[in-house]
Amino acid sequence: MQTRALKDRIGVCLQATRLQDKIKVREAMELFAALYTRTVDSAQLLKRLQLWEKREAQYATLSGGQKQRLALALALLNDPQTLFLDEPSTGLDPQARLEIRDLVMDLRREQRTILLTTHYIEEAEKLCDRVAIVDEGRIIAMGTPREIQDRAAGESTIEIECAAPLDGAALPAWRDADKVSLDEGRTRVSVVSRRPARSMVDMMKWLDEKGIELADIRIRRPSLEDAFIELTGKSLRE
Amino acid sequence: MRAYLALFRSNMRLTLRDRSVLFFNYVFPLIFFFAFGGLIAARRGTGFRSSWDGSHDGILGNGLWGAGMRAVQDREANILRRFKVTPISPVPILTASMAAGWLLYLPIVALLIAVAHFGYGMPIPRQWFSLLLMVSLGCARCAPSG
Repeated sequence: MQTRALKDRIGVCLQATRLQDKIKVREAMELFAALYTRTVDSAQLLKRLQLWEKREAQYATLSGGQKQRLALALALLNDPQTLFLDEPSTGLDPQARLEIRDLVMDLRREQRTILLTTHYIEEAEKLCDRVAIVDEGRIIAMGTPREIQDRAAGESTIEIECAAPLDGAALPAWRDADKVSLDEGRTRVSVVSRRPARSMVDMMKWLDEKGIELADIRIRRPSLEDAFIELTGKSLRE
Repeated sequence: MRAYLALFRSNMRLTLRDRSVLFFNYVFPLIFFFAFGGLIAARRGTGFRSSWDGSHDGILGNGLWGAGMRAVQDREANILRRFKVTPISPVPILTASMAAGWLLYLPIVALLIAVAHFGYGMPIPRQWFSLLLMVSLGCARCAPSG
């Protein structure tokens, strides 16, 4: 009985939601709305998920992105406070993935609790307040994306591009710089550092002292994907 | 009750859109009706046997390939998984499926009786309730097999 009451209040979007090929979008919404005690306006929901024009279309004729949006619409029919989204963007083209991502962002802004499972690490990084990395059924790290990045002993890489090749002078040992390298053209300097802000200040001072003109500067922070690889010892799509 | 009605309506709609289900529900019994009619060289007044065989095969077809088969197809295609995360038990799904199958089968019984009556001179059954009960029990019996 409790299970049923719980199911009445949560929304679930399965990894691969399948409906009958010949069911129309509007009919699917009506059918599933009848299974819950509390529902929102189906028409509004279809408009919000950009499916209103497709309301009379049969399920088989929908694109992958539209099917996934319909799955999300079905998950939102009972106006749930807690949503379970199981890899909602897997197998979709980049545009459809972006649409789903925007929708999840909207739902997040509405202060709903969303439990999102994903293999796309950039998705987790952008959408999630808290991330748990699961490896072979065990949670091996949990926290905000930033906390996990920091925990994973990742180092940032600072790259500076000089306007002219540097002369033969050796590069100095900047503070906190673990590894310094110069490319073959002697214009690009890469510095791996645990505290990039401090290293960068020193580098700027050195450039200024030497009168070297700076063409470009980039900082590459360790991503959540780097953290994942470091924590699990394997890449995400393995 | 809302769930039962919605599932029943949906089953009716989807069944009527499915050509294979329509074939096994309506054309299949008629084929057997005429096949048996030919086999036993039915003459006027002997249409009852042919009508009975046609109806019998129709009940089987309805049960095995009608709503029953749709439930199996839905499970195989992972469609039923979507219902597992809703607050309903399997009872409304099965009940609605069987009720839709039963209701969709009744027209063929009437058609078979009409063809047997007008084509082969079979007397119109007097005990309609018994006939309805027999057809209903047949559908209910065959649907779980499907």
